[in-house]
Amino acid sequence: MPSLRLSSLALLAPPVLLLGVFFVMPLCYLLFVSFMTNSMGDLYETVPTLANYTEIVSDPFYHLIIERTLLSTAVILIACFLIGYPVALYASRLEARGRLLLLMALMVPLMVSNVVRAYGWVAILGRQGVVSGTLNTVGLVDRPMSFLYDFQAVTLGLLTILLPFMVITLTNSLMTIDERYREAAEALGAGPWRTFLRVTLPMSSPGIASGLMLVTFLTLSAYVTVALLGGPRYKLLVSFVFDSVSSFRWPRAAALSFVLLILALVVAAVIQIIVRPGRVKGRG
Amino acid sequence: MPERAADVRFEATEKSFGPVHALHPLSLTIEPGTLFALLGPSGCGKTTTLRLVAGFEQPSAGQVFIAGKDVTGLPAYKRNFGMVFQSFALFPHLTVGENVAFGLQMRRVSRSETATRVQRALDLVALGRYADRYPSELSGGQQQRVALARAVVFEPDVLLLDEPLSALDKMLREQMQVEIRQLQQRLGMTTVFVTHDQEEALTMADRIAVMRDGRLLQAGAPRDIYERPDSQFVATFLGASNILTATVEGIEDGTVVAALAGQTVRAAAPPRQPERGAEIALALRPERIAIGETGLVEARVEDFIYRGATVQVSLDLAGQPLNATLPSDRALGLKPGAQVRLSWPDDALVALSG
Amino acid sequence: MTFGGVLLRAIVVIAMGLILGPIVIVLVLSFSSGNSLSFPPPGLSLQWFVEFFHAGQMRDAFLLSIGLAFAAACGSTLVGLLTALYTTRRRGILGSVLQTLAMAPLVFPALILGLALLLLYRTINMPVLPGLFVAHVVVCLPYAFRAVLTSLQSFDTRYEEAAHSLGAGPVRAFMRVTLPIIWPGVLSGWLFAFVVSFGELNTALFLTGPGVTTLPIEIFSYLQFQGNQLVVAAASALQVGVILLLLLAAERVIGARRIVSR
Repeated sequence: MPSLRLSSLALLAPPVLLLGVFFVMPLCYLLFVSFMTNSMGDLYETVPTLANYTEIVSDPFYHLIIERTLLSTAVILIACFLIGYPVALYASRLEARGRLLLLMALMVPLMVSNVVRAYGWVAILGRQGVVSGTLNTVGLVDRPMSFLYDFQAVTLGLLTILLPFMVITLTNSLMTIDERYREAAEALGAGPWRTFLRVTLPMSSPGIASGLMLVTFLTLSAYVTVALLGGPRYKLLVSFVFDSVSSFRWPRAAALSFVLLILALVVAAVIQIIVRPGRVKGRG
Repeated sequence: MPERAADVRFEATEKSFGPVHALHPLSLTIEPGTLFALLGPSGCGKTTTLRLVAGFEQPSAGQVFIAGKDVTGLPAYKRNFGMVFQSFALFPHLTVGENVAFGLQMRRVSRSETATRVQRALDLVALGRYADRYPSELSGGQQQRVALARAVVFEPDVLLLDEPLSALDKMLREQMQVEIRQLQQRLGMTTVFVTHDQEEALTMADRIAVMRDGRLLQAGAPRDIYERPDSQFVATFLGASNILTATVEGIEDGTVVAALAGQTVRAAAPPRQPERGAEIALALRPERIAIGETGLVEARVEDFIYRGATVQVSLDLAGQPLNATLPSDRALGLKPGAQVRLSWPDDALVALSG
Repeated sequence: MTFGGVLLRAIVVIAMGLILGPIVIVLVLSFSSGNSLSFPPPGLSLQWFVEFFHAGQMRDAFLLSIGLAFAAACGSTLVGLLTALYTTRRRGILGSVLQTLAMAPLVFPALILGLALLLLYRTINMPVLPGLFVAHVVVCLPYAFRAVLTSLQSFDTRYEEAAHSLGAGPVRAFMRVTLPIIWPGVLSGWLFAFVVSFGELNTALFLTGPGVTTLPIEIFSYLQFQGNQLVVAAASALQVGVILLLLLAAERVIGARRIVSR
């Protein structure tokens, strides 16, 4: 290595300080707090306890919420795959200009704040919203109707907000598959369908897995979308993290955060097992 | 594996991409069982020709026949051919065995038969114990052999090889040239391969078609093409060749009589007969020239380049530059500026038509 | 066209409709002359934008968001640049740990990070605005880092060595040779960071305070506590507008291809 290089320390210090003090340390602190006792006046009482976790694990109410959270995550993941894959396939087969346009059209919504996109759905599904208004005008119903605050609204909202992540990840993954593999399959006698099932689909499994995992993490922590579209009636696990903070039960909120993280890791592991992205590198 | 050979025929087949003519109308028959090389520089249309046989491209006009059957318009997966791709295109998510089995599975061959045939094909390329490995765990040469096994296991009508050795280093390439040649002879399968390497084509092929700018220039056995090129391009693309200019004096039963540096020489006539008095290009291979005290024509020694086993001598033949390749020991005693006489066998001089 | 082709196109159209529809409706409604969500609007006007700029809290949040995004983008691009320089020049364990760590906020639930930072800030009495700034620098870091990293990876270090051979020290070689060459990557990293900060919700949810609110949070609390009025549509339209403007500028400066291919 040439000796004339920017000094290591000058490069290293800012990122290490930033990430150490404001990323790693607060998370460790959060873990610490999750094992403390809830307190009325202070952030927590320095009395170690497992209660925050045992209460969540033993409470049938939280069981219901976790079940519901997992269900909606599963539905969103499946829908993201079933809708996102065809769109990505279509995008990957467009010529360069068309693909650029389509990807830009997916990129812009990603950049718009989720609160705006969720508000779009409120404006469509809400009591004074577009659907209700149209139905009124047409005369199908005679009073304003809300389509918000249920499973369908939250799922639809999250699905459409997260779909671009899936499509962009998948398109990039599909673009890296050399044309020759498809030609090789055809040369061996595989028609379009079998070429897709036996070659394209398995070879895009790394993209499928990383897209689905990204969607998982974003779904599980999408508090604002769930709050706006689910309202007080339809809450997911992430809502209770926020609620616990609002009622100043910090250790409880911390414990719920880690339950949420564990949930995300479990779902990610399941995705890895089902999609098996490792096989493309030839590791079975 | 039983022998099964099919012919491949082009009938006025042409292909254009927009305004670009990738292949001008081509009529060519590849006889059953031959190892046929499509040779030319990049962009000459050889790959397009191969892809037309495969069905990855469809001709803009004309037809393609495999085993006497018109396959024009048929998609690749409905034609029965095996193909080895440029960087092999072994499926990375499948094992070696699964890769080789792929073509059999597409043809709905029973499970037990698939297993035996995969094993036999892998044995054929000496990789019988590698069925459970993944392609990424193999060396380049081994990947090449798997690609071959995958392409021949279902006994296709034709085997297509697209620059099959370009991904390998020189030593391995020479070894694989021989291996592919032997395998092809054993299977007797009609094989078409694309290459830009003249040595590879000469070493491996039964017949060679030289292409340039989307046109077929000359097709024939390697020896014919090397020794009787009929154009300047073919003469210089296949090995080194001197191109000399002479004046036609007459034609006598298949040979051109011409004046070269004040002497009358005889050269094999090109397909298109030249006119008396016209200027004509003659090809002369450097290694066929002998230098001595006696000979046909006089020339002056200009320079030497020592190349180990051989010496390349630059000569001046009445104003025309000329190279001769001599065994090193024969060049002793030659000095720059010396006047020498050159001779060559009767069939060494070839008149070119273009 | 085959049945499969028709089906594929139909799915693309439906998907794009579901993704873009809500945003388009918000944009259209923000120009409504009426005062309800009825669609299509009875007429067009700019009244909700006027009201937006009269509503002091909204206007302040908008300005704060722009300033914060600018500062956070600069901060995260600078740190991202240093991180990328380290990880491309000094391989080894520390480099790969740092790389993983710098990319971690991309997938790590920002809401949980926000909560953790809030706890830390409460404990060390961190003021609201600097706290929010640091949080945004962390959240935007992966985007800036990745963009700079990509351009540094394709940068041929021989240019820098050539500069050294001509007598330029490390800093001058970097400023005069490296930076001008990797500039497009740095700029696109900055733009990504700006956009992410400008729309960021999950850490801001916990870290904003009285008088210090970002536009997304202001929109959110307005929707939660004051109902569904069209001034929110105008605020949302401004959020979208700033991003479109920025993308347009980016397209001019660095080309659309670079924005999409990450």
